[in-house]
Amino acid sequence: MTPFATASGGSLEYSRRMGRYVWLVVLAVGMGVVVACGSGGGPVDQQGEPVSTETPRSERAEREATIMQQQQAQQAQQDEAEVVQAEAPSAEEPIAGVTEVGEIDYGHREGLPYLRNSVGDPDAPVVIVEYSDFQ
Amino acid sequence: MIVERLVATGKARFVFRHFPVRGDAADFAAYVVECAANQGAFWPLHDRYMAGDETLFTEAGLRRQITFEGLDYVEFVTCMNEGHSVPAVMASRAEGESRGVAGTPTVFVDGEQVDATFEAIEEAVERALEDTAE
Repeated sequence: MTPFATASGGSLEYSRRMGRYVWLVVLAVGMGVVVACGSGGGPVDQQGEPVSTETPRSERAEREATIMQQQQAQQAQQDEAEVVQAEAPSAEEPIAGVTEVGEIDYGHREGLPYLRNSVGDPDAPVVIVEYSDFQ
Repeated sequence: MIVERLVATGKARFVFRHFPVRGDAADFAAYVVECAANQGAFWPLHDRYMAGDETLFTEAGLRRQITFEGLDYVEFVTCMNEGHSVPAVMASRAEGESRGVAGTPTVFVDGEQVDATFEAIEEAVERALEDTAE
């Protein structure tokens, strides 16, 4: 029987059916709200769709680890450069930070001032640098 | 010649930089000289090696020479065993390479590379002195 079959009983049937529809609509809306709330706190992509948090989280961790490694490598290079710089003064300077000038007391340099690997007047106008090794 | 005619006369000072290219023995000698230099004896050990003293490649010879120079042998051995002088030698060599040094000896006078002969060095020193005077 259709809701429109009779004038009297049909109206009651119609009301019952409409009531069921209303409940169905309310139920559907309610479920929609529940679903929306369930995913509402999570991240969404640019289209507003919810996205999984698992993969991005591990990707983010990998990215952070990579960035950290790069930063550490850069820092290590920087430190190394600073160490080399500190250990390698200009060729005209003594190898290490020796500041006390001594006097050679033997051989053909006797009486000459020396500063570690440098010999001669520290204020001499010209500097001779020899790169050499020992046989 | 360089010392007598250019350094002792006050015209120039002379700086030795390590550039070991003759293998492990040259490296070892450079480390020894640097460890001795830490105790103020760069030139005595430099001169012994330059004179070709082979005993300085033996432990007994080194002990004798280090003791003869009045240095602390235990401190010297610690320096050698712990490689304290390695960074300075490596830095010196790296610096030489950065300046284009490819073999030894290589000489610079006031930063300009010259032939490693006394005549060339003396000429460069005299020229530098003239430039300074002008």
